[in-house]
Amino acid sequence: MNVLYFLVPLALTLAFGAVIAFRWAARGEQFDDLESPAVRMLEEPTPVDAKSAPRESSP
Amino acid sequence: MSIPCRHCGTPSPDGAVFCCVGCEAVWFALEDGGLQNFYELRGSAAQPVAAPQPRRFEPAGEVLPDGTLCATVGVDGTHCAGCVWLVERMPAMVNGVVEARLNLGRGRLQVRWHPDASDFAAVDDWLRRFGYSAYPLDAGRGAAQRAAERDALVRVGVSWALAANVMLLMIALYAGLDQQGDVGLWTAARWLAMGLSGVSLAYGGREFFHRAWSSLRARARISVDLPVALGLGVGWIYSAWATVRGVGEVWFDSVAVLVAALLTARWLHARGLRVASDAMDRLAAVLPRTARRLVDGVAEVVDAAALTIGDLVEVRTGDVVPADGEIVEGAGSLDRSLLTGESEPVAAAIGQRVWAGETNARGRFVVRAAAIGDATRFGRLARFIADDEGPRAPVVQLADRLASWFVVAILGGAVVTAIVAAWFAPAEVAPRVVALLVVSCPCALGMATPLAFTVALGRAAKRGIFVRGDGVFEALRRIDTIVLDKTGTLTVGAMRIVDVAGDPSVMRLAAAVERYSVHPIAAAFADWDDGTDVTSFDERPGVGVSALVEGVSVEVRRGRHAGVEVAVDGVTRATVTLGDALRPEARDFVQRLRQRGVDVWLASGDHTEIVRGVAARVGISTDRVQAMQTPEDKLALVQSLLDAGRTVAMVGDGVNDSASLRAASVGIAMHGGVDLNALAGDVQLGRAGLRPIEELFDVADDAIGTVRRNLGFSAGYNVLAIAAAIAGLVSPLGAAIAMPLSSVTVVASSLWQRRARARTTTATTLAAQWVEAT
Repeated sequence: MNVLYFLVPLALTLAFGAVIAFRWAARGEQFDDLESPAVRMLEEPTPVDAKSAPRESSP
Repeated sequence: MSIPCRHCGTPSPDGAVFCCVGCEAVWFALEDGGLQNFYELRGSAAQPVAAPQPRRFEPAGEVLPDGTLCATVGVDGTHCAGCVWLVERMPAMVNGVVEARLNLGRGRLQVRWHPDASDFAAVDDWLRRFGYSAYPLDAGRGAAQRAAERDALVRVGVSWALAANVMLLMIALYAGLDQQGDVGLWTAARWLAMGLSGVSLAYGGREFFHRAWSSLRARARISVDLPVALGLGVGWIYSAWATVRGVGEVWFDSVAVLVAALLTARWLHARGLRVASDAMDRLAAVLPRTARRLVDGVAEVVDAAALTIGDLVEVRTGDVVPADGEIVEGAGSLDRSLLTGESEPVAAAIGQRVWAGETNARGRFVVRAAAIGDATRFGRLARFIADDEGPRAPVVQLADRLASWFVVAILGGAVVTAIVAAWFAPAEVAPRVVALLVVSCPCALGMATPLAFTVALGRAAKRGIFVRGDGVFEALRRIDTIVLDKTGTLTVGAMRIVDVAGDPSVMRLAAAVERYSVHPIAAAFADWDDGTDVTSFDERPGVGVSALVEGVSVEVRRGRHAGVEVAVDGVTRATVTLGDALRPEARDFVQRLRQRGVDVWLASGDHTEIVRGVAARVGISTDRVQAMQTPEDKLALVQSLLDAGRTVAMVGDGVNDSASLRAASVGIAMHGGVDLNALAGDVQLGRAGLRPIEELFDVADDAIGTVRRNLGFSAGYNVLAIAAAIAGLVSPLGAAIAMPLSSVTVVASSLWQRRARARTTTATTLAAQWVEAT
């Protein structure tokens, strides 16, 4: 049974990791909108048109 | 005001230039291609058409490190995956826009653009071309709300993670891990469970203690948080004491699960309420953001907030007056419907006062600003409505009313338990009292109201009824008086021709003339219009319109007594009586309210005879009718009914009803009313007609029924729990099984309500739609 002294803290560490991940996802606004990403997934990735300003081109 | 569509000539809805998005798109397509000749060659709309000037606003953007501006605005008209796809194509279509993200569920668009290459007006125009319309949002409020919601979600998640781990540890203990078997593991498991549930209590349970403490300190009613906090606090402290001493039973799992379950119920409830609170964001779109300030006779467009008292402001046709003041030059025709509910434009000339929020239907004038922003009449009204501390009839929640009885019952039960235990088993006094406090912690009571109301909010929202706040359902149940507005509530709110006296054959001539009139009655003639050509059209506000039709001079002018006269070559040929058509369901609606035992009043700004006539047709007795009411009169009426101890519902659609909507126990804002009303009302109807109000009453009845059933179940469970605790039959394992069971029953009871009702209501809604369609 002594293995439990190792396994329980390990399980808790994993659970803690999951909680941190959840917190990160929630703070990162991933749960704010559960509807639109589902329909956005079906889109073709379109390259940004030459007409619009380049994405990473500013000071 | 209703005018013919610039493309097809059918009357367009309130204030719009086009009748529909399709016509607008065609008009712009022709204009973009330089093909405006189409209209000339077609011949039916010889008048030159100016491009409509949409009301502009500049959203509060945030400058990102890469130099782009990022702003969030509300968007109306998005429905499906196609809309998401289309709107998010914006970067490829609009020069300078880098990114567009649409939140479909809430109708929010986050857009990022290069300020040098583009501006928001381009985005706005682009959206408008596809029939979407953007409106500004209060950025600060939205961000704070989103952050609060995210925090609540994190708390729910973390509480469940902690609860699950505590449960795992406790299962080991229930399964037979004991002091004799393995003292080290047993002690470790208990200490670990203590630590984890302690974190859960401090992190997730904090708000229950906080609210229980403030309800105690305020010496107000005891809220349901108090018995919850008592059970949680005593349960954990006793268990911690038992853990430290190494003797006695622990209740950590019950405590942790309770915290998680209650937080989940509250979080679901907050999400349910969000739908209605989103509607409030439209308020900002009512007043103009810009003004034309005259400096040395030259008009420059400035931010409306930048105006100062004494500034000269030019107001052109179609502009909304940006400040209160006096006309010093020019003249116009003011549409005051936003402020007073009067649908007819009134002539305004030099020396007259004008108020912010009025629309100049015709003409051009210059106003010397006397009050700006919050100091305007409109601003004061808006602030009164937005002010949460205003005179609002308080509604105490059923659960909170029961809570004080729960506290008494639990404390009484604890005393009895202590006495009984002291008699039979003196060593068992403390464990039994704690067992009682933990097991009777009113989890079901804490969840009963939020869950039942969340389900009800969802049901209402599906029917296009947006309910703000919890108190609404309970207040609706106790409504004994209802004050109805006339225009737009009992009536359709648009002028119709009710009678033609004289020669009806001239009506098509009159209709042809009225086609180009901006006057609100013009739309009433649309049914008679057969597209006959019109020349030399002239409109004289307050007098009438005239034109040449088929070689004769036709004049439609204000009648000597009532209605309008149609004169051909100067001879009056017909007298037309105009009226606001009663909603077909109005009479039934009033009768059904009567059957509920509700006292029905009618308050209107209209003339006495008209209001009495409507009252007679729907069956409201004359002593319950108030005509010629100003907004202040309506407020006073509602207030006096409230002071008489009644629970009053107010139903209205104009801004002139806003103050009374705000003051009433329940304010119901009709569909198609002014945005400001959505803010004032507790309920906003998203569908036309009075039927949604009946449905609202049904939903409220169901919701309160569910709450009562939940509370009854919760009370029954607690009586059993207290009896078992007195007898010493409650163990931590028993509590760990019984408490979640009671919660699950409450959840099931709340959800089952919807299932059982869904089928019958679908049938009735279908029937209702069929009746509406035929």
